[in-house]
Amino acid sequence: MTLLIKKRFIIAVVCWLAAVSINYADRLAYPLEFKEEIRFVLQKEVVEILSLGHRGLAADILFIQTIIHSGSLVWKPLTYQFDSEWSYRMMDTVTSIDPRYLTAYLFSGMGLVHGPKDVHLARPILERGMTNFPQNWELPFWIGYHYYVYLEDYEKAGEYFWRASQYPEAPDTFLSLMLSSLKKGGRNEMAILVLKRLIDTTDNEKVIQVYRKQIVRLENLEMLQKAADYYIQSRGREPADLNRLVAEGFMSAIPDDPMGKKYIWDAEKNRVTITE
Amino acid sequence: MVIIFSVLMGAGVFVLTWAVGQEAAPELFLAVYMDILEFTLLIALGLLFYTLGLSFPLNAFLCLAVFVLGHSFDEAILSFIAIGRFGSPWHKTFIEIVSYLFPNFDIFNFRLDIVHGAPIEIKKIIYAKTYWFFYVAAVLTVSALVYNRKDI
Repeated sequence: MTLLIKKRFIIAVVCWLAAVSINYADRLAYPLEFKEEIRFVLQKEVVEILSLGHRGLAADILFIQTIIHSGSLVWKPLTYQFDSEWSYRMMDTVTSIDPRYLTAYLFSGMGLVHGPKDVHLARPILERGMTNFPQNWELPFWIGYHYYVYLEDYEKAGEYFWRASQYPEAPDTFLSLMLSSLKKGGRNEMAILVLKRLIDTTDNEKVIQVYRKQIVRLENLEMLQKAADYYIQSRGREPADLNRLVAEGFMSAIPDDPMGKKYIWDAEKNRVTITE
Repeated sequence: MVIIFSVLMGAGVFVLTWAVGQEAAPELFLAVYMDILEFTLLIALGLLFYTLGLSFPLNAFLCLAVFVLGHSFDEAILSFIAIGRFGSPWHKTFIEIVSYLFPNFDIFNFRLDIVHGAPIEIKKIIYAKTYWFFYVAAVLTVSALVYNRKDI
């Protein structure tokens, strides 16, 4: 090794050590701290111009920004809250400039929903996804899931689960969830169809027996509901109890529940239910 | 080119904030200046990779990797401090040591301070500038060393 090379090598090492020391001193003088990130949403038209035709790339960059904001909340202090307004405006831009970005639609429905408020923000994006991907079962499934879990609107949840289940690629794994929402939402006829489909998914005789009993119960509920509706239509008032339907000739008898429960008129829900 | 584009972009943002926000923010040019320092350090590293005889795609990939890495250490350390339950203290120490060895691009990041209107101390600017000077000097010296050995 010549003297010149040695000299240069020493200079390089000394410079590098100096840089490392300065970095260390800087961190001692200015300890690392959390800072609120800069968040703004560019208009879709501006993003389109700035992307210079690379819409997919621009959508990717905005999508990653949103993921980073959402994901970093896992380790940031609780004072840093999820900015749903900003996140969903970003996702709206992402899916507008790249309408075929399925992952972005799904992330809007899965990763970004933190509460009931987000459900309403996510829905237009998922609905747009359903228009652009008419064969995708996941998008209606997630809307249904939000209605079920966050809004407790079982009727709506059941509707969306039902839509999701109609696609050929939809798995049977969410049938139980769909059944639960349909039953809670009073959609007995749909629930019966789901139970019939569930019977096809199992060979277990005991489970099939339970499903069959549930079908009978739902058929009874449906029959009673129809009679009660007819009663309300004719009398202009709700029945005080289900025995009124028999007493006033709307039914010959109240059927027995296959699982030993009693059918009752729930004045609050305005429909026939079973005792808990 | 980097300097021209950075200055043009800075000027554009300056004019926009002036026109839309009704407020001139000359401190934006400090952020632009720091960005230029950052990019020149990255170019120096690219030059080092070039002297090592790396192909263009590999060189570009390494530059991108170093850029991402250099911007991730602060956040990585903060996440170790914040989470606590993930990883052991050894992980944090390891990340801290590595962050000192690799180029720290976050030292040039004055953007958040400027946007949040936080006061910027001269000492902090001096740290960034001297860091840039010594790191670039080290990288260029190594590059020259490698290049000269190739000639021999």
